[in-house]
Amino acid sequence: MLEEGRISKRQFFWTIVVIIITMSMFRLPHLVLWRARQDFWLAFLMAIVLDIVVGCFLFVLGRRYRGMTIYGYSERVLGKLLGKLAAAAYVLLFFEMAALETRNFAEAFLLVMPETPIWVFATILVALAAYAVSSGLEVIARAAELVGPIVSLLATAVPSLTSNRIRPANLLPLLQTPPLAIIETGLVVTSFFGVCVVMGVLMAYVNEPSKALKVKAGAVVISGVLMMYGYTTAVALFGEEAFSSLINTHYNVARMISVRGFFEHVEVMILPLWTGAAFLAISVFYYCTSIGVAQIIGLKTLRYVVPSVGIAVAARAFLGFRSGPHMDRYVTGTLVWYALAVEACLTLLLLVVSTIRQRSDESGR
Amino acid sequence: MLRVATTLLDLLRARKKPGSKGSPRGRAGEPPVHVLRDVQANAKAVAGFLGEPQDLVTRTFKLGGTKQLECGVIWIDGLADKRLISRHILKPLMSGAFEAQADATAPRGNVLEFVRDCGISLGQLRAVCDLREVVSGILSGDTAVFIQTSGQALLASTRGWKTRDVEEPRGESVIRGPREGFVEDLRTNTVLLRRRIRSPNLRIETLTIGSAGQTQVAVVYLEGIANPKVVEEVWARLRRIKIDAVLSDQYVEELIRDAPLSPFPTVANTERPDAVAAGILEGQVAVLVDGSPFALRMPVTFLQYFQSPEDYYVNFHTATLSRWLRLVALLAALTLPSLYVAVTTFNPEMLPTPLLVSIAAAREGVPFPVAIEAFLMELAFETLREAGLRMPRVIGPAVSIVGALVLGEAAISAGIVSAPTVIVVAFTAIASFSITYPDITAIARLLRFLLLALSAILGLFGLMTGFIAVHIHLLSLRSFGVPYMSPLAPSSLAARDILMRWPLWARTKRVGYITWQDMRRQPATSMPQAPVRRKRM
Amino acid sequence: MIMFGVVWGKGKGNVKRLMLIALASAILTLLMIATPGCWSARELDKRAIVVAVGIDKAKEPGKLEVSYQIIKPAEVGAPRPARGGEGQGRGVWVLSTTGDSLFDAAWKMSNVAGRRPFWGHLRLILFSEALAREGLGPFLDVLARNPMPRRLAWLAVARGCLARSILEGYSELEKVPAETIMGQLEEYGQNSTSLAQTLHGFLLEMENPGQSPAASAVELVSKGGPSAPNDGESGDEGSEDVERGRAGAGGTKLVPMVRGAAVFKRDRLVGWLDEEETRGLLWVTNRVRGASIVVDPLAGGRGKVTLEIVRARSRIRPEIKGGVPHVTVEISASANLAEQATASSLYTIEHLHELERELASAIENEVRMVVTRAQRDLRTDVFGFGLTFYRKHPRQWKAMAETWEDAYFPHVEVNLDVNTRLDVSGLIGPALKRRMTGTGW
Repeated sequence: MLEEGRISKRQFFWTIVVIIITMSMFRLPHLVLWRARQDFWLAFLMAIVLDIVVGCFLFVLGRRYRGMTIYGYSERVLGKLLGKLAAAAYVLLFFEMAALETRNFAEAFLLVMPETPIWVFATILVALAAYAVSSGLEVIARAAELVGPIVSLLATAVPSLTSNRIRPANLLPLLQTPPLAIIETGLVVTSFFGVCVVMGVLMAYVNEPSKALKVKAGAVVISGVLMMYGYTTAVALFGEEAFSSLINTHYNVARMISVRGFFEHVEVMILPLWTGAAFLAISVFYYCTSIGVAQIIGLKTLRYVVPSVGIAVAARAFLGFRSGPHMDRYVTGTLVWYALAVEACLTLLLLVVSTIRQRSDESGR
Repeated sequence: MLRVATTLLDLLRARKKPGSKGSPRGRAGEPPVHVLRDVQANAKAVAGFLGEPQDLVTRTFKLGGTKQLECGVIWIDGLADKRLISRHILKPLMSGAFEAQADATAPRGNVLEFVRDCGISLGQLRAVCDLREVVSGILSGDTAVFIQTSGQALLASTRGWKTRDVEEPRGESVIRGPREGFVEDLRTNTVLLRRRIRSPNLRIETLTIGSAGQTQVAVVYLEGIANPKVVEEVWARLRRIKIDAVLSDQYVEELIRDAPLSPFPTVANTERPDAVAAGILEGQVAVLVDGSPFALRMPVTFLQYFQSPEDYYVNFHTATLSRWLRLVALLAALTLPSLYVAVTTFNPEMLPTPLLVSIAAAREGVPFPVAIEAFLMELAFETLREAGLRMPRVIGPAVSIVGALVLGEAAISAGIVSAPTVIVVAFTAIASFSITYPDITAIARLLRFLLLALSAILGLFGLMTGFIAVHIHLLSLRSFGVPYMSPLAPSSLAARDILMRWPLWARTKRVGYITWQDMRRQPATSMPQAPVRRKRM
Repeated sequence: MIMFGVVWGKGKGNVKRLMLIALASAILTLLMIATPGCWSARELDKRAIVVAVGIDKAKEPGKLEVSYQIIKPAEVGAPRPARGGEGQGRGVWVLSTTGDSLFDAAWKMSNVAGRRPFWGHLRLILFSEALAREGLGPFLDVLARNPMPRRLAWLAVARGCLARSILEGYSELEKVPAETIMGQLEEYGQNSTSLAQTLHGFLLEMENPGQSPAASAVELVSKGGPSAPNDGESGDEGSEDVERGRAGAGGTKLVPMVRGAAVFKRDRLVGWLDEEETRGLLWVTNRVRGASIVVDPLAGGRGKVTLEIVRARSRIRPEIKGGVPHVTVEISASANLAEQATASSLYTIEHLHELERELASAIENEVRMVVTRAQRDLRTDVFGFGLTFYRKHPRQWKAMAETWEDAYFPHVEVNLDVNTRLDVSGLIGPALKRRMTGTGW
């Protein structure tokens, strides 16, 4: 067994909330707002529903193959070779997500410390994550329990503190975006929210797996609501600018905080607080990648996997991407569709094949 | 009475865990040396064991003063109470009346039994055959009585060396609450605990540690409340100690603690019996070490360090406020200098303009970078503190004058350091003193320097990096199986205790992470209520 | 580094691990000593804190002259008063650089000042009138793009003089003259006769569809009051002295003053509003915080009554009637009776109602004035009427969007619905029973 620890359902909940919020806070907003404009909330609703459906797939599979991770049962379902390939697809997704998150956050930090080279942030974040991963899932889950409430508070407080400057009329007009654009953005959001396919790995370690679906659905809804709140505030603050020019939306919202004209530039303080969340999201993906690699190769410990995956993630984060537009194109053009294919289609495939197998087993008996 | 209790305990334990612990006093491995029938030979043998020291007193006399039967009494001067010996051993055994009685009632061969039953009027008395045990008894203050022709010796407990009186604890004084502190004597310390918890379930089990030191160590817990697995684990770890001598509780702590490399204490120490009693009631296990005025408590969690025993001796409003203050103080003690460095050198935009201008004005012309300046001032302060710690009281004021006036004032007016840095360092120092436990203060100091270095290199990002790394470390710790960050992560309802000291009547249950047995402390209806009003006639 | 030490050292024996950690810490310490102040670190005494920036056209064509007000910390922040009797307003140094773009010019500042400029406390941005007339868009980009300047910094146009002259203007109270200007902007709500615009607000109004922005207007006046009538549109009429910001004849000092508003079309300055017109603009856009309005119920100047506006709200309601856009501006205001110069008691219900009517018509007047001006002369929708159509009637808006300001806005029928409410307050109700001999003035 690669992992001895067990996590509680509360820890599972916070883990998912943290990774969703962190993922959708830094790269997603302008991808959504530029296309869906005032109707971004429709995209979010769509993403929440789709993700709960994917959650159902994973839940059924997780219950069917109790105590096994998605890597384990994909081999059981698809056979050894195909199973390993499927597992590799998931591993690749988690790896990309870890690298993307590292990159996003390191880029965000460049706003505060522009002269610092990006590899510094990437390396340190990955090193922290490596420390957490090598300490085991329990430590990550406990960290999620600490960071989760802080992140949720942050995601609520930052928009709330700008409430004296919002102009709610900026949210109008509603329902003017073409449906196709909304669906497309909805899929982008879904793929970002879909990172909670980590459920496929973590559910094996939850001590009450029967509650996992309820917990995951709750987490998706809560983080969806929090994100919608943040986006709503951004639109109400910036109006047309949010739809056409702003990137780093959350950071820009934080820039609008001015407490009695005395404390300004609070964003400089808020961004470091996000470090905790970013580190946690990275370590969850990092952990899932490491476990997957170990399982595919058939290793008994993570001892050699952790440093090598870490170096790969850090290298991918600061060598693999170029500028913002490059990343935007990569994310919307490639990653999103790959993520959707893996998160939804591959999972659905697993479910279908597994059901067929089970049926045939039963009839064969 | 004590003896009865101890034997009872021994019996109970023997019945419950046969062979698992064995007799804590027994030292296996050495063959017994039998007590001889000749008094002189015995005395010689004992003296031989001890290397014929000056302070060994051997008194031989004839039983009852007249008869042929020789009797020897041996003790170490200063360890044993001379008055007890002369009044309760020498006097009755030498009196003529005793001889007459002995003649009348006991046959000659069994005179030792008679002496034990009717002669020596001391509470704790036992007959032993092994000469080594006699020697070890003598070394711990007992008096050995040898009687001619008897193959056994009597060991009478006459311990009576000079001990310190029970005084107010130095390091953890309170304004309100009990003023008693532990002393070096183990027996006094167990008494201090027994006086607080009179329950028959209070277990005090002892063992001897140290091949040379032979120190007595007591494990104290409340049967039925303490987690039996934890008790078992404590015993197992104590028995693993194979050191030559245990000179203080720190020896034991370092040899039994979890995460031996971590700077964070996974075993708590205190000099307050009331704090230990409170811990025992929560299910903790205490370990007392003879010769050390501190008790160890385990399992311990990080957040317990923010709960001072005094919290429960003042009303809960003020206790809550001081709990908040301590949390803020800890944060300040950890991060204030590094925050100052990070903000002024990396991100001064977040300072309000007037404040920034004031700091900038003070910084004009200062030769050092802020980071170095802060580091130097911290160093100066730590040196002052270290110097003041062990300084004779008379010199103390002089040092503070030199430190405060000469170093601080002169350095500022000479423009070598800036006033804001001095203010920050001074406030940090004050904050670090308001943390209740010296252990945590020390760690805060250590981490302060680490965070200062990190934030000098990477600003707020570096500060957060250090913070997160420390948290991962804290989250990965366990103390005797209990996660160190409970009840925060893994979280439980007891987390409510962090920010608030709840009224005592609201604490109806024990905190749920140390033990799971007998959770209820008091019924849920414990809130004081006004008497039911009756109509006046 | 320590982390990697911990990770890699794991399980290789505790002592070894301890040594790895110790080694990593040692390297870290060495690094810290070797590179005090890495990448983004800069000591405060190596930074020049810029509080205000003024942007003018340089003498050479196609170049910008950017002026900065830099704080002299030793003068401003020192607890003891600075040596020498240099007087007030000398806590700053005003200097300028020229360059091809705003960023380019600003980048050269350290060559002059000897310290790296620090923009984090930039709170006032001034543009010269000439630049504003050519369009601010190109210069706003860097201010929105760069994370350092505050987005809530004030944005103003220098009227009738160079932006640099304003920065060099005199302040009696503050050591940093820009503080006076910012104070005037912050306190605009006292009388609501000037517009207080932030960079954020300007960008918002500029970017939103169906709206043109307005900015604050700052001018130089000689100490004590306005120096010369300066109502001209061009602003070129100001004397040469004012233009250069030098002290006027007789040693009067020139003081910056925030007054009126600068009105843009898209990003080009098209005109100035005077004080009443500005208040009209603020009435429509719901930005009146307070005002003193003098009405004369008896007419002929015989009994002026001053009313203090304490609360005001307004709302724009767009309607499309028969394909033609109409706008209703609903204004509600509450006022206190602040001062009266007549002996007759106004402490009756009838009088109060009459005063309310008077107040309403005064407000209506102000609004009419500015609406007419915007529709006829300036042809720019500073009120954001178009924006309300975009929000409420998005479908019809699509047809109008392109040509809104030129084809539709000038002909929009604006209905006013002014609601006023008077609360008599103060310590006396009726007028003083005195022999009123004065006749008012």
